Amino acid sequence: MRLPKQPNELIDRETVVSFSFEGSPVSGFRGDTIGSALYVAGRRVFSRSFKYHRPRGLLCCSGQCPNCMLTVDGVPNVRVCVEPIREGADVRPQNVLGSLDRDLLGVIDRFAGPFTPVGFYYRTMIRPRRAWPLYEKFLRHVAGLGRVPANVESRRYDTEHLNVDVLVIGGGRAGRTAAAEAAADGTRVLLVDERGGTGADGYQVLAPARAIGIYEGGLVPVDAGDVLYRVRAARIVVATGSVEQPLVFPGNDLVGVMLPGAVRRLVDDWAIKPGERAVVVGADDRGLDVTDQLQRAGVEIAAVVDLRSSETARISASGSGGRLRSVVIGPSARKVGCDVLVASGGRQPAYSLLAQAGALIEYEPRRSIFLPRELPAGVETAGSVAGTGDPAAAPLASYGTSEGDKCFVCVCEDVTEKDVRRAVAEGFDSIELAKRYTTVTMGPCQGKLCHLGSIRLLARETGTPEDEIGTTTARPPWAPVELGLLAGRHHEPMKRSPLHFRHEQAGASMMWTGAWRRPFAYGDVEAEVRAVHQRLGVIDVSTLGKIVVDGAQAGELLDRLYPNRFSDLAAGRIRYGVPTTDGGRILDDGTVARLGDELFYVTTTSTGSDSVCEWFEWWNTVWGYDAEIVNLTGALAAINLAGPQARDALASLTDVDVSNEALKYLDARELSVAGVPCLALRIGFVGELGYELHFPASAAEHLWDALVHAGAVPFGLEPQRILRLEKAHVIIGQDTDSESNLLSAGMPWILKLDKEDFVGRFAAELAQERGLGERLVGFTMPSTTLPPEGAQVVIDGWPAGRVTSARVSEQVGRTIGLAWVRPEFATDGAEIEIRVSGSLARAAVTLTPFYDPDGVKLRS
Amino acid sequence: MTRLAFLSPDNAAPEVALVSPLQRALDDGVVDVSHLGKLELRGSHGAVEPRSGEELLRLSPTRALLITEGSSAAARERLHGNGIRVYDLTAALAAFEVEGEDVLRRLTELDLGKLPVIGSIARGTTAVIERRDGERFRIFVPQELGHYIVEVVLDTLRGLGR
Amino acid sequence: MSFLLSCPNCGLRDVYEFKYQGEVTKRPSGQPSQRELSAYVYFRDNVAGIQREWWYHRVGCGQWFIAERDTRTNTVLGTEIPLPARSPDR
Repeated sequence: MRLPKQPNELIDRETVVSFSFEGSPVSGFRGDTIGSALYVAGRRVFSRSFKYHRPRGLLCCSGQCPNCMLTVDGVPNVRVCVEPIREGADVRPQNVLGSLDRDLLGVIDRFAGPFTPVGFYYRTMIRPRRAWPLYEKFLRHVAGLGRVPANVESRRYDTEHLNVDVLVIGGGRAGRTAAAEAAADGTRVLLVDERGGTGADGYQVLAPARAIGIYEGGLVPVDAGDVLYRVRAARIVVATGSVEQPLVFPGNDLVGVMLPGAVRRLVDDWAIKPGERAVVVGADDRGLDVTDQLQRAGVEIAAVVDLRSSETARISASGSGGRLRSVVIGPSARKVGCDVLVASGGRQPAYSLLAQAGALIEYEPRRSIFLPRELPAGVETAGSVAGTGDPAAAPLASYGTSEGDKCFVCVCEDVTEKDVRRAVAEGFDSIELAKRYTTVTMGPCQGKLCHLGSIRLLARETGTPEDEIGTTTARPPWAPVELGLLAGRHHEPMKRSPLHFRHEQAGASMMWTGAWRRPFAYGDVEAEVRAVHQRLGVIDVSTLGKIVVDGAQAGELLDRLYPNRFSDLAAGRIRYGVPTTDGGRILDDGTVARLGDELFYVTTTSTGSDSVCEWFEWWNTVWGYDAEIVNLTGALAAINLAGPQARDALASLTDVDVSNEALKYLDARELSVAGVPCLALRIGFVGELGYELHFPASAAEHLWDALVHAGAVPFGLEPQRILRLEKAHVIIGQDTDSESNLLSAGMPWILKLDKEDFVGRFAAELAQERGLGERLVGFTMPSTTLPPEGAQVVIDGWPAGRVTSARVSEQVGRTIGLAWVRPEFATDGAEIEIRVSGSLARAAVTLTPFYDPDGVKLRS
Repeated sequence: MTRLAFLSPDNAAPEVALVSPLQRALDDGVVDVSHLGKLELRGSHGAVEPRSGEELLRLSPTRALLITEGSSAAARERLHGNGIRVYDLTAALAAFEVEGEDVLRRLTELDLGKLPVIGSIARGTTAVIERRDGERFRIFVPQELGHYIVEVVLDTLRGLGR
Repeated sequence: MSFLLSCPNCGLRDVYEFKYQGEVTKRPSGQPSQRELSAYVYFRDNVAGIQREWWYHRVGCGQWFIAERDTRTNTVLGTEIPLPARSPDR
């Protein structure tokens, strides 16, 4: 029933808002919540409990308990007691079979009790194991909260960062006072509050917005519905207040049993009469003052029991159909008829955020509540969360006896006093074990209404004082939060080569290499391979790492970073380099070209560009050689022009002499190609005459177009893989792993052990003494068989290695590959077997490249 | 040839059409300024002062970024030597401008009261951010991530109803 | 993890701008035995307390530096750019 105008009511009686519930129309006023509108329309049962499907009604009216959770417009678990009323909203119950008032699953409460004691699922529904999918399906239908809709459109969630000097969490009186004080001298102050709120002078307000945790570094994520604010604050003031605690007694979950705050909100905020006849039981002034609201609302007050002065040991509520009808109370145990029972046992400071931040939480026996102590630096309290509220009487752990109706400790999870007693009897007698076994405090309220109660019960059952029991660990989120909000926008970084759009335009199928997108091939892998062998191909290798080492001691630095020697490299010449770790492991590979006395140009693999540069910078931080290390990977595009016609094509685009004498194999020369300034490296990863050109990224499309116009056929990564395999060129990370060293990978010439020191020297010397455990070799087999990567090498029936790369080569006419084998089989012609599709196939070891073993084409 | 001549796009012949890495990502709300000259200075740059048409962002005691409105050739010539080494990063960095502190707050955790700054935007891309005037910002990112970052910025603008 | 780390050049930043490279170790000099080499490559003290460790401002100015952090609380006591030396700790 709606009351006459109340002095501070939030409703706007001029504006009617309509929505539907279970398909039928309901209306209220703007300023109502969906819950208050339903209540004034006569609804008393709002949900069915998690396990027993007992009818539940409004209990807290402040968004903490689970009793009013309904599905609104497809979104489950909406606490309608605080959800603003919305025109056209479609509101439906959850976890019912039938309707809220006639839930067929209510039989569980009547009959299944003995079959579903605490922890029953640890003992039942285990065998036969095959039947678990059936059990699971059954369970999902009979218990749970809301249902996530399969077809609802994904909401947009954004993330925003705020840097402030002071963050105040909680917009009650204490919070607002603290915010105003902090803002007085111009510091950046932000206040967040769970309820809607207005702005204020001097400080920013975010409301409704809920801080869901306090993390390291003063980071507080704030849930504002569809924006997650990541707030960094130098000072955090927690003013989250305290939470009214329910009493534990038989029938304490009946519809009509409420906390004082619910009555206050119903009457003061929404001008609603809570019921006809009320009993009030309280342990402090705030719990008992609610008689004011009841009187103003015209509710008959049948009895008031002050736990501070009365020797009450028994409270018992009973009803019919789940609705409260009477209470037996007081030392006289008289039965009082009522339809509202306002029962509270004092207020517990809402300390969770403080606990997350690292405060110590201790039970204060004189106040019989938990209080935060020893706040960490940067975290303060304001208001009743520090325990400054009025003292209250300590309620009993339970006002029930062993018979009678269920006494609920945790209404979220349907945990009763009997469950806790059983858990202790079964040996789960510490708070951490009892919590996990009974699931008390693990529901939507996250312990706000039941943690204190569970401690009291446990204390009584174990005979241990509360202050010795401790608390369970408070973890974020403080209240349930939508996963989408935490995920935010989904953006996956994609590194694009300067030639990316040329590849797309040419119809390449693109693939990921780390964060780069690269072309796998442009449509016909074999044709691309043939083009390189017979005419001219061009491949985009812009993703290669490119590092300049520049300074008077650049050569010395490189000598110490690599097993190779580079200080004696002539200007204009290139050497293949393989850096290793001090454990002797191969880190990466690439080329080093000397461009001047003090200037070296280093290339790395595509995935290694950042890590090799960081590696160089790290060592030089330690050694301090006079050398700058500059990562130019993105500054320069790079392409590999390869094939018998490569020289002719290059010559047609440049004035510089590029004859075999002027630009020899392993020469590096700067020249202009098609008007673009380039560094040309004459190297040969793909086995044909070739030039790798490095030039400014913004000129890439121009140069690529010129080369394609000159007859070069674009080829992708897959043809490149075949071509390099024909030359038995090792790909670091493909053919080697984190345990491979230079000797076992077949590159002994790289090691220059006569140097004083280099990273990997210790391991190389020890490895030489020890000998090799395995060797990387080439192998061939008939082209009718293609072993997959990782295929097992078998010798005399024993596993003896694995395949790292294999392809069918049209050019060679066989299947070729690389594999790790035992050292005694690392000889030309040795016969090994490889397991392919369950059977063994014969292969022959080759230690030389499969195509052009003497490198004649490369050097032509 | 001058050292590292192959690094500078302004050494290309006039008929070479240079392409911005942001070319295909742009839309209303984001202005491409990738053509700006950008030089990385290594060494003690305390004595270096920017000239007209130049801007100097000091990132550490031994690293700075010089931005030039036109070609950076003259600045390269002028600054290399005397303990300073100069590297032409004009093609290495994409650059764009966008309006609104609200956009920046959704892109980065960095304190917008302490610009110019080098740090993380969009959860892990290195960026140099400077304020032009009022709420207009100029952002430099590695060119290979330029297209992606502009996509993120445009999406952020959409989320703000712009 | 969301603690703040002070880059010697840039000041306080979120830890994710940085790359962690582990405890500061002592690189052997001369010719270590296999056991000494393995200890250097694989073993770490892993103290529950104050640890000297390497960090790199990866999404930032690119500075390598050493931090002293209490591994129990993630409180960073200080950061510094080490002076170079030819055979120092690593």
